[in-house]
Amino acid sequence: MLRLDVRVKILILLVSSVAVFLANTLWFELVVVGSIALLQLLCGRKVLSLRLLAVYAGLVLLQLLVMPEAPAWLAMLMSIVVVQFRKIFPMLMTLILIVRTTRVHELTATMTKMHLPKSATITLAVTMRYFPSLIEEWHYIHDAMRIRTIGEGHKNPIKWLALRMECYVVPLFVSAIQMSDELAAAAITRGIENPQPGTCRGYRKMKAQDYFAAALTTSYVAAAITVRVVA
Amino acid sequence: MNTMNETMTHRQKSQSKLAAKDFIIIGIFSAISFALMLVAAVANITPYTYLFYGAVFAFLNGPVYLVLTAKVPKKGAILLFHTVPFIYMMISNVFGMINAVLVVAFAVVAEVIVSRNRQSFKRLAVSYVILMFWESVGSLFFMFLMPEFYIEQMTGLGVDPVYVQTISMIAHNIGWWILAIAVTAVTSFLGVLAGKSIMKKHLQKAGIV
Repeated sequence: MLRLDVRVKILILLVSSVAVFLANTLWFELVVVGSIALLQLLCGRKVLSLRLLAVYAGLVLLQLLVMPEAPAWLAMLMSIVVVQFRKIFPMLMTLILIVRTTRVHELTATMTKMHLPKSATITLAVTMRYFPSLIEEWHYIHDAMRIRTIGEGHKNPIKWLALRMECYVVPLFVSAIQMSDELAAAAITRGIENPQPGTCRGYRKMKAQDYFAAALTTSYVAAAITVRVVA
Repeated sequence: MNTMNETMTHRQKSQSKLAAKDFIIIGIFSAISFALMLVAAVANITPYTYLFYGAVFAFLNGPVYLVLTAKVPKKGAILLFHTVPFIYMMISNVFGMINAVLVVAFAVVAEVIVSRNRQSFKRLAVSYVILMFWESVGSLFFMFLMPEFYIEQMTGLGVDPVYVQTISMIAHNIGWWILAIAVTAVTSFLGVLAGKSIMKKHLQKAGIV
């Protein structure tokens, strides 16, 4: 199973969006998506999301086969959903690759070794880690709202929206603030405020395969520029 | 007496500096703000509402901004709060990379505005309205300043010609841009007002903020 350095993965993320933007044709995008899918497969079977790939293939087929035949209004509506959504796929797939193959401590270790400020490192690590909890919290609030049938019987839609928003946002804020207090207490007990630079467990140096992957990734930008100039 | 003063100023200094606890709060609120950004993306569905994506986000994000600045009234908090939008813009596309620079610039301006008094609602409101210009100015400038290039880009992706025509019509009329900026300014102010009422009604009573 292939294991890449975090920096290489971030480079792939940058290149995937830049290269697709520069080349600006469908077939080049297909090549990029194909390469990312292959890379996902190399990084492990669980990293490759077949469902996402199927959605992408569906979107491409819709665009190539159905859209030219469809009536104007439908084609317009579809082009927004199909094209705008399809556009973000290379980025989305690389993000999935990063999230599924990178542990948070690996990211923080690399960022610390790169001498990035501690503020940015901790903030990013917390943001990444809090996302799953945020979704969980949102579901809890949603369930609670359904039990209490809040907002029913309001005739004024603006008041209804305001009430709904309030009932979602306030519990979310309260739980977020509580969570941050608990996390801070736990982190301080573990010595996060120690001014001495800590040791890094889980840091990997760039290896030959990382350099190779980085070089290969950059070659996509060159290819994209060539495509643009030729076309 | 002298040493006592020194320790006092030292303590004040350390209190006004961002600490690990603040990084964690900012990290959590960044996640909430980013989630709202994704929620607001629903606005991208039609070419007209696409212009007001920033306005929707500015309204939703207002309470988050206000609660965050109340929780962390320290120098650099707003700037750090924009690390995630900065990275998001950096990875989204080439236009986004230019916008990423604007994100930092507006965040610095907001920092300067609130630097005198971090408790003043007026200052916070003004800083937020200016801050949200990165959404209305930064994420739309390419459409109005480089319409030909933008439309070429859309066509290359395979967007339907009728849609491209609509976009082209909008992009060649700078009035739409001014409208989008104005609406975003209004909704960001409303967002801060909503945040204020939420804080007053709930969070301050609960002693959280």
